[in-house]
Amino acid sequence: MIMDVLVCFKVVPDLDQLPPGGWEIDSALRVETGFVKTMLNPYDESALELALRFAESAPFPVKLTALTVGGREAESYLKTLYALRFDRAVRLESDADLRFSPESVAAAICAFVRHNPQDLIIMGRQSGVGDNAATPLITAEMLDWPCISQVTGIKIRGEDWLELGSMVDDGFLRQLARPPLVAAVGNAPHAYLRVPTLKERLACRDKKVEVIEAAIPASEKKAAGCALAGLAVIDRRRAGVKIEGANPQEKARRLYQEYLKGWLAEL
Amino acid sequence: MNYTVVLNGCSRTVQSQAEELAAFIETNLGAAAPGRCIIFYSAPEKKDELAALFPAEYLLLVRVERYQPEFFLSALARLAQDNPTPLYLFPGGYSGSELAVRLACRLGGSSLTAVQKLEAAQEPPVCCKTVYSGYLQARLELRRKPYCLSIARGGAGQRRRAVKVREMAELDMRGAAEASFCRELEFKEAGGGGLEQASFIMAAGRGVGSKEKTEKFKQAAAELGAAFGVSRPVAMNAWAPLSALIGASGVISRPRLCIAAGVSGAAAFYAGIEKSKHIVALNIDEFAPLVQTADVAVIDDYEAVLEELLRLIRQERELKAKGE
Ligand SMILES: Cc1cc2nc3c(=O)[nH]c(=O)nc-3n(C[C@H](O)[C@H](O)[C@H](O)COP(=O)(O)OP(=O)(O)OC[C@H]3O[C@@H](n4cnc5c(N)ncnc54)[C@H](O)[C@@H]3O)c2cc1C
Ligand SMILES: Nc1ncnc2c1ncn2[C@@H]1O[C@H](COP(=O)(O)O)[C@@H](O)[C@H]1O
Repeated sequence: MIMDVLVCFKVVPDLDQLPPGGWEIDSALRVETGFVKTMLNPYDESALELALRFAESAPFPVKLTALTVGGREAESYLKTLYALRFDRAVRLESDADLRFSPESVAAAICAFVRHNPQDLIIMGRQSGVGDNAATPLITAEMLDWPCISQVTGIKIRGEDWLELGSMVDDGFLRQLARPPLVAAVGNAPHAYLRVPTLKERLACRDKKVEVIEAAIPASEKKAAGCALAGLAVIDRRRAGVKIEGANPQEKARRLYQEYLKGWLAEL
Repeated sequence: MNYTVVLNGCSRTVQSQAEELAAFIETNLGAAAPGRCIIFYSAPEKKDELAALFPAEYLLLVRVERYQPEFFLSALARLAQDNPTPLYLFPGGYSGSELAVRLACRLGGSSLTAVQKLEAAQEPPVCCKTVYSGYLQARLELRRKPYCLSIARGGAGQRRRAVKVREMAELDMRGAAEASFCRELEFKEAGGGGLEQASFIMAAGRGVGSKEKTEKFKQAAAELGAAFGVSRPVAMNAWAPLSALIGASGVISRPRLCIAAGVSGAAAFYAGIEKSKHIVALNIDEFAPLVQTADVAVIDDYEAVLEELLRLIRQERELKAKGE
């Protein structure tokens, strides 16, 4: 048997790098994030790594496809995924504003899956920018598949069962599940994406990323359940008093005498 | 606006879920807004206790084998068909968000997760929530009924309801488990260091440096009587357990005092400490965002500062002990 595994990921700007005064929101409620570098959405990075480990440990061949919906910013990441032994790297091309339309992203993913059948779809639980925490759930509903969320580990058990670790509201769950299903990856310790060697990169330098027009419903506006009506920077500044002193000990003494002593007494 | 509240009574967190939802409803819809509450539960001995958690005009208790979103959803979709409300409200935990989004798909409605505010009187209704990894606040118009929303954790505070239950019904859905696509192997309760309730928290970030130093920091926290928390990189590196994670994807705390060491103060982390009365930042970088969003900051190596603080506090305690 061969198992088909699809990993959906998104490339996002590293918003932690924008200085507090660096946010520019235009009249169309677009945000300028061109100054900061991009990164893999952290949960998707874990999803990709978990998929690689899954493929390595399976006793049968696993065909790995990595997919993203969006523009050219994902191209170099897709190339890297070839070097890490993903069999297909696919970009569903779209220049639509998908920030707050997880329905549209899910629809594009589902259309791809209908033409390229999969046994397992691994996604992240939430992605920056939209912070929707919705796409894997909607994808599962559209495909009429079950979904396990907050996943921290996926292993194969026998021929047709998966063993999934996940978090629930009050603890950790280990369960056996039969594919097909959608796994939405949460906080998975140690799941950082490995880095390919130069040799691995060179070996696949001629492989082309597959670019396919995203099948987003023509009336994308209607597809989205919500419409963005406003966007504002949240100002969280506090006093931010910096404690002066010649060395750490002196600063610690001031911090203690002038602030902490009183605050600890309030407890 | 008439609403349905859905609680996951299989989880130990159900009481805080109920209290947060009660506060959300009172703030956004008014305490008197008519509603119904559906509680899923698995332990029959807890039934009466659960029934008292969220008094609503109509209360429905649904017995299930365990938390399994597929069963919850098919039950909810059926109930919604027979007896629809325009608004479905879910708590802010993992299960709440999951159920809100998926129920909206099944009912053809709109969903949003981690909603902070609902302007229900507007047409269309508008929700506020944080976006852009927590740096911006968005206003989003809801387009399709029914609206299925999970609320932001720790948002509106907590409240007990004072509503009279007019009608109560029960349903047994345990049979559904047999047809499931999955089997539970093991459930382990999250230990939880009492971060949600702690009045004093010490949080370690990546800047703490290593697993050993994180452990040392944790001991210092214990000595000072503080609950111990960490940022995402620390949990991801497995320097500390996931249950100690603070932030948008971890615990939302509300202590009186929070000391954060080696934490840069990304918005996703800050969401977990912003309700602190006092925040102290220990960071070597004076431009770290947390320096501005703290009340006071020491710009220096956290280890040296913490060591001296421990010495001072021990000294103070000894003096007190002698004096008494
Ligand atoms: C969707 C999403 C959800 C997220 N959810 C969460 C969440 O719930 N919780 C969370 O924490 N993060 C979350 N994150 C990640 C978040 O964006 C940041 O990446 C993370 O909080 C950074 O952690 P940190 O401050 O420990 O590390 P860093 O940003 O690397 O900061 C380390 C800090 O330590 C300081 N430092 C270094 N050495 C010393 C020293 N010797 N003494 C003192 N200071 C020192 C440095 O100056 C620096 O400021 C999320 C991200 C996304 C995209
Ligand atoms: N444009 C996209 N392309 C591919 N996958 C996506 C895209 N947007 C979101 N996803 C997936 O859906 C998950 C949740 O995203 P969101 O619902 O936007 O918070 C992400 O972690 C990704 O796995």
